[in-house]
Amino acid sequence: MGFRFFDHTADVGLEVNASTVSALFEEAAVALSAVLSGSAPVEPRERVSVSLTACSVEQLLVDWLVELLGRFDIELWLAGSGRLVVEQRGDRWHLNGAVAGAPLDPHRQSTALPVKGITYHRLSVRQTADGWRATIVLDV
Amino acid sequence: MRVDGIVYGDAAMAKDLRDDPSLEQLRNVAHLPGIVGASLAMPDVHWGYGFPIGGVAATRLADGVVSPGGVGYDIN
Amino acid sequence: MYRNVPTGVGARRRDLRLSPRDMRAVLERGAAWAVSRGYGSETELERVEEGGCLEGADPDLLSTRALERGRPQLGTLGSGNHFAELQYVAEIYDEPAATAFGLRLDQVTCMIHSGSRGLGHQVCQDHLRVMLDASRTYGIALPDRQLCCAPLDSPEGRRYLAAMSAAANFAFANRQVMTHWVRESVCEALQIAPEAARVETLYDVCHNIAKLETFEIDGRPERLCVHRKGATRAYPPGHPGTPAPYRHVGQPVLVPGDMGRYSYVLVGTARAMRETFGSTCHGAGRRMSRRQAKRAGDARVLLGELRDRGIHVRAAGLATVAEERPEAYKDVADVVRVVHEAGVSTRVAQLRPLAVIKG
Repeated sequence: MGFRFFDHTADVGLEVNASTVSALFEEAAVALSAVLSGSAPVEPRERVSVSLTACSVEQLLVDWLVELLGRFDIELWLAGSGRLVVEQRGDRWHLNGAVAGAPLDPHRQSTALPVKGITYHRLSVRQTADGWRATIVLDV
Repeated sequence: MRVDGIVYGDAAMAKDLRDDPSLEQLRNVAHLPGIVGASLAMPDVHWGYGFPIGGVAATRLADGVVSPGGVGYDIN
Repeated sequence: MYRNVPTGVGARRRDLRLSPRDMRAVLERGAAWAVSRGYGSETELERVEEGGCLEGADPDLLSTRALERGRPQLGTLGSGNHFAELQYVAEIYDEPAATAFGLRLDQVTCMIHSGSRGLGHQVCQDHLRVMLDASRTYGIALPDRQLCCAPLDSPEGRRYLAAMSAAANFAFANRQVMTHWVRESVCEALQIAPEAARVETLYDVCHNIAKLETFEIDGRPERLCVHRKGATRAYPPGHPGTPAPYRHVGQPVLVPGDMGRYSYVLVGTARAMRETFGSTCHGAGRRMSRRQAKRAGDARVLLGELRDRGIHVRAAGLATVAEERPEAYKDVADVVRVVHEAGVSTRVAQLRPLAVIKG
């Protein structure tokens, strides 16, 4: 369980593993913060509630990471640990919950990679023998 | 593929590109509806996502498409 | 320059704050908005692709998030491969074109590489989502989801073009503001009046854009949507889209290299009109992934080596310096030689770096 990076010439590839789909989304947020802040620890100072809906689990993951990316771009806010519920109801996927984090302190933490976007290139979210796996390519 | 793919390059670049995913991306772009002439790659072509970076594609107004992936995130 | 041009993630200048109404004007008018606020002069606008403003931009099509991201970022360089670089003209290959562009040997130039920042990123992201659905609606089979698209003649297609044009205008305004700050920096450093410094725009060109342009197809002029992704427009002499002062030689093309070697100025050709929809290369092209580049050596050592060669680098973060190391890129001279020999743009001048600011 956890995440790892894989190489892509102009971009950064991310593989995330978790036991449940909800945990996968929590872990993906931590992974994105690691890319943005160079793996510096994130203090869980403020809680932010989130509620998202999408037509597929892949789209929901993109929407979730785009939401976090926007928060970082506007106020340097980085997500840490979260408590999320991700579930399919009918033909829609829903994400509800809260994530704790804090704005990056430019004096203490350096930013690592400026992520421009969450791409659909090679995007996949699937169930594996021991849980869930997501593959995402970030445009940096 | 609706049109050819054309890469501008020299012998050394051709060798480097042989196993590069940007060629597959160039081929994918050639599938776009209404594409005219060829799916083009400049010599600085490299692996992007969707379109290769260094790619040029023109589509007809009447039956062609526009693709945000053909522009990318860093607009302009 | 490093003090005057906000560089890196989260950097801002306090003296430039945009109201929602300003934001609208930026998105509708592009570089002209910046000039109307005193950032540069009217005469510079003809030396910007499309006069620094794409027609048909509709600010109402931008999401709240796109506007929120953009408002504090106007007049900021950004990070990653964005840079502003002081250079000198090291070689001239084409005297008449160089003269028309106002370039001469040993002259100091500045090249700015930046775009529409978070606003453009969000516009792309928002519309990819729309286009995924649109591709299904219009029955377009895709080998890669990132290629999702919609007919030009569809609500989704038209909306994307109008939103993208607004983002492009933001980028034109962004660079116009920074160009002005570079000019002020030069005057400040040399303690001379702006009129005496004669810091003038050579050209401002897009490299990630989709635009409606006219080309001859089977002997007839036809309007086409040209996607240039990491590619630059290269219009020939005599073309109405080539700025008047350069119309006898062709449109200038700026080709940034890496921070250790050189960049080029090229000129557009008639051949590009026939073969590449008036397009040429954009830059060096990455050779190493960012992670590989980071592992290739210590950023401090690299900064020392560059300094010994007379290249001063100021960066917001050491990580960026390592990722953007010269070896991470192909040799731009090879790229330029190919387009020159193919005739889709030809060499005018080589520029070598003196000082680089990076995010």
